[in-house]
Amino acid sequence: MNRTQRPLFCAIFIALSFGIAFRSHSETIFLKDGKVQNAIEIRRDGAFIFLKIANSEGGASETLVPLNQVERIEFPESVALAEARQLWRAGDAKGVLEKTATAAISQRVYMDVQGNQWVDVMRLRLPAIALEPGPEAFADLQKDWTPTGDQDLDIAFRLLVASRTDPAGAQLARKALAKPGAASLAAGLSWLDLGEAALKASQWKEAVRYFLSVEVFLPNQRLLQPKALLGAVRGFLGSGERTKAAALVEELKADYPSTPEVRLAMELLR
Amino acid sequence: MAIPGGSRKRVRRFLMSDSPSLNAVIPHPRSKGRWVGASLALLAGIALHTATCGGLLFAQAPAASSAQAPEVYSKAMAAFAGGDFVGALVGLREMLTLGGDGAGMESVHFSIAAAEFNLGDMVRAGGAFERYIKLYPAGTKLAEAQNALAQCYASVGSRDKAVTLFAEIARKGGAGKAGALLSQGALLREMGKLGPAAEVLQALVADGLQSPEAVQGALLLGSVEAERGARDAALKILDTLQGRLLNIVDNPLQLNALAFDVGDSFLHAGEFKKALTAYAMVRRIEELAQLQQRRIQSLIRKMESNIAAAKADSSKVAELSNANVRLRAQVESAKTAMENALGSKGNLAALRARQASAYQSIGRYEEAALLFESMLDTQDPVIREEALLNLGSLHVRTGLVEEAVKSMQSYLSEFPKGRSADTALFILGSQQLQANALEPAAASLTRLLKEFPKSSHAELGMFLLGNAQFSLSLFKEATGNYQKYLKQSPNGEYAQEADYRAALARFFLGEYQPALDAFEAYVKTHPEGLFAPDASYRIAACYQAAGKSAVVAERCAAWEAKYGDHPVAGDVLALHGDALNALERKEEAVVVYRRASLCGASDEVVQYAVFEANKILQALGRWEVAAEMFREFLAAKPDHPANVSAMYWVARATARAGKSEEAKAFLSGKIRQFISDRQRDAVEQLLSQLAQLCAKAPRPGSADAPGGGAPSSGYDARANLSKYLDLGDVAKTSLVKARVWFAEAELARLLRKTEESASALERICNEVPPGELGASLLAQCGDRLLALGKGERAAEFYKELQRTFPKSELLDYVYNGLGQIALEAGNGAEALRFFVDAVDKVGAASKLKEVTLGQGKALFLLGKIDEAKAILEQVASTREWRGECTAEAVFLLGKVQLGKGDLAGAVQYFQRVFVAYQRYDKFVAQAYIQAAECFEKMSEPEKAAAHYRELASKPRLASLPEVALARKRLNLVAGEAP
Repeated sequence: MNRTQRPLFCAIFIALSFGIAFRSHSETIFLKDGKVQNAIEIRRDGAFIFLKIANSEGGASETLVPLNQVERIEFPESVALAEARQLWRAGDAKGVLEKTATAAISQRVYMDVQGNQWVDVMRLRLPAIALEPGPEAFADLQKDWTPTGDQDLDIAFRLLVASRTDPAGAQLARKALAKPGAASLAAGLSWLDLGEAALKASQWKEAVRYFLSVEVFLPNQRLLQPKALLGAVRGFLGSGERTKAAALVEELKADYPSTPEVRLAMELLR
Repeated sequence: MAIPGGSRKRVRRFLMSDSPSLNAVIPHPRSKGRWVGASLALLAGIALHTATCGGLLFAQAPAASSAQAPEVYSKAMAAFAGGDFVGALVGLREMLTLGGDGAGMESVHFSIAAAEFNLGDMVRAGGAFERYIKLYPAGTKLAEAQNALAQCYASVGSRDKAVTLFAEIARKGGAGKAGALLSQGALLREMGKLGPAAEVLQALVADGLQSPEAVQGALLLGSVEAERGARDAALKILDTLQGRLLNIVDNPLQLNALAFDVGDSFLHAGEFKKALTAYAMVRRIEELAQLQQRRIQSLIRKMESNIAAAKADSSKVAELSNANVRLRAQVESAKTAMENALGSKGNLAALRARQASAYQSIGRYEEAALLFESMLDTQDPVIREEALLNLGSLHVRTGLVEEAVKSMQSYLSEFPKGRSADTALFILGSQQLQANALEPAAASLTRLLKEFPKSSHAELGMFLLGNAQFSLSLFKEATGNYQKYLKQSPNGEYAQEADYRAALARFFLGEYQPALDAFEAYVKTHPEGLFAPDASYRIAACYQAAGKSAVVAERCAAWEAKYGDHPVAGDVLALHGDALNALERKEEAVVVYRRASLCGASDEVVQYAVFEANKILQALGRWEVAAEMFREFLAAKPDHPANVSAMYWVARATARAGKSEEAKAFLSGKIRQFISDRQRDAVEQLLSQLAQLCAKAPRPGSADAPGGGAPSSGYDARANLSKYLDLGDVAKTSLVKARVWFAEAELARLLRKTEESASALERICNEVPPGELGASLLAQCGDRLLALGKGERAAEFYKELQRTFPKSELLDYVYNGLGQIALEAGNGAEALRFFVDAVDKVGAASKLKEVTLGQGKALFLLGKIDEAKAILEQVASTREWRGECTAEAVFLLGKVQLGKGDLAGAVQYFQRVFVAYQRYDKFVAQAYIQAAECFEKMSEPEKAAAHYRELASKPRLASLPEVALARKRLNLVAGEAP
């Protein structure tokens, strides 16, 4: 072992003495005076939070805590949110929208409390809303939206609003956002829209470039992938490159088998 | 640290093999991991300091025999706490000499070992820890001491002892188990014992990633698994660490390093899609910084919370203060990590290069190109250079010639002395050659050979330069390069082709004897060579050049017997036909030409053969055979560019065979077939021919004559044309109507009914929008309107022709027409541009005369007298153009001389106009006036008057304004009544 590796062991000492506890089932409320409360359930009422705390007799009692005394709340990952993450991986925008609905409502209440999962929920939900453009989900989102502080999400939201209220401005924004190598959600959504426009104009090569940019530069935006791959399939077919289209259809089938884009792509190929 | 030193070597190996040039370009992600170690070095002291200060020392002060002991001890520990480990050691050793004992001395022994450890003297530290363990086998710091001792062992090279000790600590369980397992795993991995390392680390993570050690262990395990080939297991670990777990990774940069490792291992193993999956987990530096920022904020909040708690409960002050010391250290460490992360942008280029490599390997070139393009979005010249080169190579691979050329031009413009400049020049030259940009190709390849004569591309570059020069008809230069290439690489990949091309170059230079020798040598050396059929054909052609037709015929027959339907068969048959023709074996020649016309590979050969056969058949009066030949040709080559000519010849030959009605019927059928198709501009040619046939009355006695031989005095050409223009159920669109009117105009013209003809053409101009007409009618209508002085309206037709038929052969009408309009408007520069474009861009096949004269006029208008003179002299001296344009050119030459002040010279030109070109009234009249004016200026009023008088006396010119002018001047000069 050499000198450079010695500090590793020392770091472990620290971590050992520090001790990290992971909770998974109930909310943990950290108060500003250093106290910690574990609640079975919490609810908010204006500037107060009601904590339902289990007692030693097997029952529960309710405690009221002023919000200004709460340092942060650690929320457990709900089953629905965990499922939403799985659906996200599978590229299922509709499923993500459904599974995050409850979490969005519950987390919206705690948006001003440290530790809330609003940003996590929005990371899943915002692209889903962009891809499944039901007017209700978007209207809900617009009504409740407050900037998340996550620049990527906030820009994507503004782009979504602009695409409904100021199409020309949105188009300008898309072109500015969709630069080679960009890695924001807004860039991904822009590429999809620009790709669709290119397809309509029979600009196949351009369309392919837009759609494949989503795959290349935003591989972790799983919800965007099926649409991007389908768009690229259409672009390749338009330019007569059937083999390339077929390869992408295979990828779509392998990675996002349960999405509607698979069926559409296979029909196109036929 | 969970970063394997060995895999750096592996990554480099990969880069060396896949893309040597990237090796120096891309910083290894691992190099960014070093900072973790650097930042944690600080913690070594803090860790042990807190372990001692925060432990039992103050609670269990050593029971000393000396009264000095507490003071010595306190000073020593204060020095320790201040980081003065040497000072601490002095005090602690003094404590030993003071002869203290009891449980409290345990702290002294432990602190001595800790101070040595912190000073980095691992031998002494190891000894001190051994002493402590021996003295206090059940000591309160036993676990820490054992752990530190194991580290000392590892540091001084006693790795096996270290591994054994870590294993012992782990076996004991308790708080130190996870740390010991992690250390043991790391050490085993460093020792190259990947299997045992994996086993230990698997035990560490078996219960889930519930502790920082387990997370650290998982990172290390991922790396070990990747290194030992268990790539899927590594990928699974990497995947597990994504999402929420990312928040508990101490330093997310380590996760990036693992993603690189796993990706690289897949890439190296040829599992490209999995490599891409792993690379997709590499987070952007900005994202990691954001994560770290959140982590720092969380740590700070915890510290604030501790302070609040300590204020509320004073009994916890010591405990919470110690906790905050650790938290502060963690914050500092996280901040350093973040700052270093933000300074390490190079990772992105490394990632992109790897992703591009993976995409390329699975044939996904579009994605690879996007990645390389994105790498150009940097100011780093090293990355830009490699990205441009890779992008160019990729475009070559995908056949995107234009893009490849652009990339290489950008490369050479940015990095003219770049380390791959020779490669860039080679790619540029070869791609320009492919794009048929011959001169730029030759320039690029010449530069390659001049600037990089020792480049590995020089040899092939020489051959390609030969090819470029060959295509530029620089046959001597090409031959030179082929010979140089052959000298350097007599058995090179392209030696055979260079050999053949060198012979061919001589052939094209007209050096038939050396060419013949070279071709024969080639055929002898490569009897089954790729170019043997062509070389054999060229041998026959050499004999043809020597006039040895019999040998040619013999060679061609032999060639056909050997190579049959080889692609050059058409050429050989055409040559065979030529030889037979020369040998006066006309009938045989026709047969061979006809075969050539059907099997020729190029349009030129086909056209040549069929029209050579036609010439013989005409000479032989075999019109029916000619008609049959062209019908056969039309059936065999329905899309051949010579089809219109073939149709013409079918009709003509049929008519000449005395079957003019059959000829008209044939034309009528073809016209009906194509008349609604705007793109078929040949229809107008067929309509002209039909009008021509209809204009002539059937000869008395011919089969077509009405009444079977009755006199044709009552022949009605218009009715005859109408009969054959009965289009049946063809929709009468504007285009169809226009084309019928055009046929009527043609007929009227042939019947010398000029007014009627003009009126029919004007009807098209007035009634059919330009957007409905085909190219031919657009051109003719434009010209008609121009002749009528309706320049603006004419321009609409010309512009429609240019817009809708950008490849039409009639585009010279457009350039000429627009040029004449500009000239008329006095815009010489614009006119000149149009006239020059007419020649340069479209060859001015139909309008060469007009645009050349136009150039002269435009130059004259621009005051470029000498240039105008040269052009006008060219027009005036071109025999084929003799006519009105000659008259105008000579007249303008007179004006040129006038402009130069050479009045006598000008007069000569003006006199030449009215003497030699009397048919062209406009110029004759103007020439008289100009000549007379010259004489006036030369103070020769008599001669001037004579010219005015002569002009005024010509009744044919009486209506021209110049005549009235002449009479007025005559009155002034000679006092004669106007």
